[in-house]
Amino acid sequence: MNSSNRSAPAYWEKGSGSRGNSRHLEVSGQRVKYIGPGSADKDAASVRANTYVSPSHAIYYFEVQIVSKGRDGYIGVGFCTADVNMDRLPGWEPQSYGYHGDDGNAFRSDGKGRRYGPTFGTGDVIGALLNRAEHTISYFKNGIDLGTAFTDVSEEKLYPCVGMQTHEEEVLANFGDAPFKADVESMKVEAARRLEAQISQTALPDRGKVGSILAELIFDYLVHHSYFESAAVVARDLLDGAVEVSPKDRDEVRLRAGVAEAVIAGRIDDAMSDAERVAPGVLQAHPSILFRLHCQKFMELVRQRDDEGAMVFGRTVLVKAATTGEDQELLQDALSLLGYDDPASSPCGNLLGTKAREDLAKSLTAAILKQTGRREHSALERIECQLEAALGTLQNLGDPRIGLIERAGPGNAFK
Amino acid sequence: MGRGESPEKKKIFTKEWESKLAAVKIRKEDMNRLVMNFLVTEGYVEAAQTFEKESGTQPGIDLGAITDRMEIRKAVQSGNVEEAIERVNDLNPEILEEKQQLSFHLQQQRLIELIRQGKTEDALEFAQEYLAPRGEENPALLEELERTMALLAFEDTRSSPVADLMDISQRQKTASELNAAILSSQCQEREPRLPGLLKLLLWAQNQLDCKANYPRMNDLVSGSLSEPTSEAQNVY
Repeated sequence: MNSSNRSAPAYWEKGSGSRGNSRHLEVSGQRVKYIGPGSADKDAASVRANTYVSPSHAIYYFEVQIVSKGRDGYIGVGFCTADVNMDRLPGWEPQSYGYHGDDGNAFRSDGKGRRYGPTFGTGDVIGALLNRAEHTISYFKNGIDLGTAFTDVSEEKLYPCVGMQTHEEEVLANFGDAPFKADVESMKVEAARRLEAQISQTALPDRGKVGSILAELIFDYLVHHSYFESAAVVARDLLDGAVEVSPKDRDEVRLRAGVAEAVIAGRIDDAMSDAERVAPGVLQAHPSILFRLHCQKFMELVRQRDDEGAMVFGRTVLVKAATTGEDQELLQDALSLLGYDDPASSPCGNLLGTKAREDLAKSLTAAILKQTGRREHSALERIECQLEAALGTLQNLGDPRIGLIERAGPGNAFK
Repeated sequence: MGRGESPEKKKIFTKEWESKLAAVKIRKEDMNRLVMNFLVTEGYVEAAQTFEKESGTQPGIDLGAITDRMEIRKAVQSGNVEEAIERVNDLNPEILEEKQQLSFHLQQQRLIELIRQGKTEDALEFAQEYLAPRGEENPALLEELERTMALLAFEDTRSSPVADLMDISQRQKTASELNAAILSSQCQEREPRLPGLLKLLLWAQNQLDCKANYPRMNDLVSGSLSEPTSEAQNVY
């Protein structure tokens, strides 16, 4: 997973953040070896990766193989920010976290550390897991989870780091180019499951009435899409007959669907008169749609190869009806069709296609809904839109948890 | 201020938000499946059948196989709790044996129905015989027991502080809990997806409240949006 992202940590950055001790380290790609005097704490030297872990990365993991524990195995593995003094072991400084091989302690901003896990040495593979979703760091020894080492980890830009202090210590990092000892995929699944559990704790409004909220949403959806028989059964079985599909609603939905059908079938005059019947004043209130309807009527004449009729209609109605610049542009495109033997394959031939009719039907339906004080979408669909917009915005704002939420369509979250 | 929260909240105005909403692509088949999933999981066979016929959406399971579940739900929803209990035990006696809380809720519903029918003496007897011992066994249920018993103290339960228990939605709540237990005993998906969708929306909005001012959806039934204000509203 890490390697798929070009900006993810990939190698150790020579001399990063050092105040002089970097000369004690021999750094080459993913390999680091201590070659300094190694007699006291002041000889410690750390190195960090070439870049930081993306803050929106929910679960980040890397491993370090201890090639040699050298003299004393004073090796620390962890994460730190760019500002940390690297002439120290990971975890000794603020904004720095480390797990140390000689004593198995976990260090955070201090030189003492606290009891955490087993010691580690030559041949061991130490994994470090930065969990952005839960703000923790935990470690793995040879693929075995040692549990959470640090909580409330909130630094935005954290780099993988490793540090050492005595002669001949040597490590080799794996930033994801080779298979890991630990099962990172199942860590992600586990984190997603915990998030799911947390989300499922969210209380829905007014617990006793949740059943009826759901039923009302479903009823509203069914009516909106003219599934009237289903709506009637839902009203009877789920809502105890508290609501019903009124004949007026039914007629309105049917008429609206009829208008859209007429446009798609090319019966523009029918569409216009029906639109006025279901939503009086709708055409006047939406002059651009009215003009598009006129154009569509012209298009139908062209399609029927009634060039003469089209010409007359163009001259008497269309040219006079065009008011805005947008209208004029559409008018020119439409009139250009008359200049071709085969208008459908002309540059503006797409005007004659079904897509153009469908788009117009959609715009007209939306205008009718608006004119009659109704919404374009059912509440259920508005909820779905709001959800997608909220999740998308959270993701754009860098919330790492959103990546854990798998969604493959409405209501498929976590399924 | 919470973690990772910037001191300046991002302001997202209605127009910008609406363009985000308009960019969301919703497929009608997906929405239809969501509705079908709800009807099937909750055991509304006739609604599911009608919806299949009208929309062409596949129910995904054999609707005939959920008839038992439907009958049991119907019994609870029409107030015949005893019938429901009998039917569940015919289906699988382990369901009620294993689920103490569900079993309590069914007895509670039975009591509510007795009170609804005005059979105060029967109700009292029933409560003492079946409900009280369970409440004593399980402190978690005690509070619910007390609330239910309070019904007996009011002449007009409709205007009492525990009137919600007399509500039709209380029957639905009990029916859904029983339905979920049956589904779970049959190793089927217990929860319909729709409530999860609503929870995810509320959760996402709560998270976003810390980071941005945006048109929030506070009323799920109407699905209308609030104007973004300087103070985010935490309604739920």
